[in-house]
Amino acid sequence: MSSLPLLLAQDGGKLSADLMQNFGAMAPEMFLCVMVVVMLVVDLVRSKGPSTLYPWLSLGGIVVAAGLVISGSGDVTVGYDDFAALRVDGLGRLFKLVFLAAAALTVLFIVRSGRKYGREGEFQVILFGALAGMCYLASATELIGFYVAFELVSYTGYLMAGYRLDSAKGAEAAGKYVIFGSVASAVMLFGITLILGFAGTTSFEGIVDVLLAADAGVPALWVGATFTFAGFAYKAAAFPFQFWCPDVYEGAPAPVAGFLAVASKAAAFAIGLRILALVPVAGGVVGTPELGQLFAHDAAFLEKLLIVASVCTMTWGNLAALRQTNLQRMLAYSSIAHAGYLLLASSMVLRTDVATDALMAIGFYFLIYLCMNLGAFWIVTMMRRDLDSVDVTALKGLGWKQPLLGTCFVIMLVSLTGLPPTAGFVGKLLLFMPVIHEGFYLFAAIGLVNGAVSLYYYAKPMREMFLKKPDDDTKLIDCVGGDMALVVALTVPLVVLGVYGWGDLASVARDAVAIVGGR
Amino acid sequence: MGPLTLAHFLVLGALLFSIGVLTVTLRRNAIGVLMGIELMLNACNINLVAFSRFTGNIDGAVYAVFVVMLAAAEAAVALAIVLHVFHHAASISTDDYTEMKG
Repeated sequence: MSSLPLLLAQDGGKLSADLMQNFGAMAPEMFLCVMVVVMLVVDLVRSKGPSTLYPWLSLGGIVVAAGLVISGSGDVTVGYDDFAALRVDGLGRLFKLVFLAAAALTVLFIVRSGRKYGREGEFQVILFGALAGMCYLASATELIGFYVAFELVSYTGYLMAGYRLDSAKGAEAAGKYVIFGSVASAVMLFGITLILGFAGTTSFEGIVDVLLAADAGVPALWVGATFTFAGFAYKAAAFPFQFWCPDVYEGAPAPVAGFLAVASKAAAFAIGLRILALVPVAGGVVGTPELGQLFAHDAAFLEKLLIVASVCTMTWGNLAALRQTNLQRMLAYSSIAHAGYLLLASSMVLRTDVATDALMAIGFYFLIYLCMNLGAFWIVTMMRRDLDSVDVTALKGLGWKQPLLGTCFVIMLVSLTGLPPTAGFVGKLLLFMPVIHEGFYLFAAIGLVNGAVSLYYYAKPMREMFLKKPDDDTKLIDCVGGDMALVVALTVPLVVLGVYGWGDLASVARDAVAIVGGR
Repeated sequence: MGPLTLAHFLVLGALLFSIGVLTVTLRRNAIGVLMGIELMLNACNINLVAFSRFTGNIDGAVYAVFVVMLAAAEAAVALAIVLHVFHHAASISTDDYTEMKG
């Protein structure tokens, strides 16, 4: 037995060098944890009541964290000896920036939503907790850290969904979220225990090695992998664990729903992609494996699981969205459909020759999704503030009275549909290109048909705004100054990337990933 | 009766997990559902500790400590939210949480 002081004396130089490197690479996560404490203390010390201090402090913290993320470079592994806890690389950095940007926008939306919650400090504490969990999750390479971060993201999500104490719908949303979420995470944990027990290691890399070893055909591992998928599917709102999503997004405050739809989903994809990227399949697997040999062909099984889940997710999301008139609920179904598109591209990460393209496409899509989806949720937030309704009919004739706002909203909706000349089209093309390249024409076609179906419901608000004449008593959205700046700031990237992207689609994605270094 | 083996504990874990799943699906009482979730988590702990004991790999036991900690945090969050729902719906029956549909 060696005590810590002894260890330090013997191996002090190496240990402290390791520590320095580890602290440097983990700086964003550690800073976010510090911000949780800072916010908690500030909230305790300050007298009660609404204050503009919290949002500004919070935005400052997010900017510093983003700076720490960008200042890192290369591909750093955090850990000591043969134990690796985190891997900080380009993919992780890209996702961390998506989380931080989504959080910054959410804070702004809440400030400008005009509602005085009176508990702003508490909300920032929870938000920073969620960010710390998400950033850790995007880099996790072993099961313990992964599980703690995953649950941190979940618990903070539950609390944010029920953050408005005066709303019965918000309470119900949080209740459903916490009960379904806890069940899904318990199912995932049971799967993890089986994998951990039979693989004998917590490292993702070690687990994948064991799973792919030809003689590892233990059915318990197969059960474990399927159960673990359930947890991911729940977080990403993928079929068959998507049922909670509409209720939670409708009941939660609109800015929070936007944050959950973008950041929470991105977190699930970030860690899912990190694991999938470890599973190599040269040129794909041909043929159907026997049940007993399933794990000899683990990657083929995983690929089928992902493709089936993605097709069901996008079809279910789009079909269920058709009859919605509540805009916030419609956006929830739309976010399920987008999870389906992203899942289809994720399954291509298993194919060695298109893996990098698929990873880039997904990273790039989340950047676009951040703008168009949060933009739409911001308009819903303003509708709730000024029109007292989030029904599409409340927008009647609004495009004629507020042309700039109407045009921006139309651009966001067109981009969500995935039509040119918007960034949504470029993003969706990049998502589907690996699928077509690998010869899955059927699934690419299903994706395109789904896009066509989604036009029906995305067109509803457009028709309401521009094809109907306004009544004299039509209420207007009070969108000037900062409110309008937010709308425009979220629309401009969609147009710029959409037009510029025409030239060389792939290079846009490469640039986007290269900016944050690594891959 | 032979000595206890890893399989015995795994069967116990699977049984406890199934009881938890049944509790979650059959109970109409939100508190009962949360208790079912606790059973599921404890089934996971049995698995983890059994694997750790029988394979000599400490990872499982360490994991179990984290699960216990997170289960406590989860119970705190879930009970607070159920209480919050109760204030609005005046019921802890999950059948009454039907404000949103479709």
